[in-house]
Amino acid sequence: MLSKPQKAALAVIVVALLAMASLLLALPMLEKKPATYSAVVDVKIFGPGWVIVAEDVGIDNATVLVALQTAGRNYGFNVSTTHYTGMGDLVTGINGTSGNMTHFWLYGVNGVSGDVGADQKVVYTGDVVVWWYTDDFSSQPPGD
Amino acid sequence: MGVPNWLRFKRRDLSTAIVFVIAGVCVRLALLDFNVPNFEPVMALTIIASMVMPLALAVIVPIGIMAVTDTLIYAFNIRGEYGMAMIAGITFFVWTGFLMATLVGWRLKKRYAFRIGNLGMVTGAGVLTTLIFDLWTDIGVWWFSYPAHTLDDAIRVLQLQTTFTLIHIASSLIFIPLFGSGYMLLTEHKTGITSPKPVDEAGRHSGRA
Repeated sequence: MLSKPQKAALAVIVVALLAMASLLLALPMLEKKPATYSAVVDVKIFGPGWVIVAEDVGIDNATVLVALQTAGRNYGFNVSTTHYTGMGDLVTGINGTSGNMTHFWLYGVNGVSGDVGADQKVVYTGDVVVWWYTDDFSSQPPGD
Repeated sequence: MGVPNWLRFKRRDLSTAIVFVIAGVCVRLALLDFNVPNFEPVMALTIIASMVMPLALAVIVPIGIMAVTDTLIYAFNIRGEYGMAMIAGITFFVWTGFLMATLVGWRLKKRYAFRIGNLGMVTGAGVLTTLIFDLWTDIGVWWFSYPAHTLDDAIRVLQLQTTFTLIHIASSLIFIPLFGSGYMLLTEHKTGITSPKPVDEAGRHSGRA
């Protein structure tokens, strides 16, 4: 027979488990879905010792991430992402160069650094999307 | 000269510490599949460990969990994209952040016994510790990832951190009661009925039970 404090402890465990299940189920619903339409953009990627320029990349669901992935398919380089529940997709590797604890892939649109996740940032026809590999979060998009 | 209290422990304490480390490793690795950043069991187990075992062993719990899981995640790349650098600067801030949490729990132990009636207060202290931990690790991010070290960069780090911290607080709100109650049910403390009163450095009972 359980004592009163043991019953209380059991109740706390049940409530905590329910809270955990609710949180894990609710978080994906918080992810924003950007508006979907088409665009044609340029994508430039500055890796360590290499540069890829993909011009006139036509995309549906016009976001920075889709532009990068479409450029990857068109120009034959790979793009790896990791999905974080509640936050969206993080680009972790481009053309075989992976991010790590000290180096990251950052993006900018028309010379302005990204302020949201790449899967949330909408792009428009004529935009220039730049990705660069850096160890400095405050670095600015490189020029041509 | 005698061994200080915080260094003394019984064999049962050692077994408890090992169980805590194993539980932390299993839960942290299991949660990786959900990919929810900062939803982790280490903070909760660290605070609970420092309240139920001597400081010398309590310190081993977060370090043990982090050493095993970081090795598996980063060095062996079992889950995740960052195959890499165990001794990276951020890791220093994360590990020392957990050691700070150990000290918070240790101080708490001097005033409050670990029993069901005090679980709300322990959880509240855990949330506060989570905030301090996140601020501490933000300093690490600001230092290592923003070489210019400007105030603007510091503000940007805090802005980007907001969602992560909210999830981390939710994590503490769930895991401290969960593991705390689980510990109380599984140990001989009978959820406070025979739980020892808080004991100070000189071995005297003190504070609220």
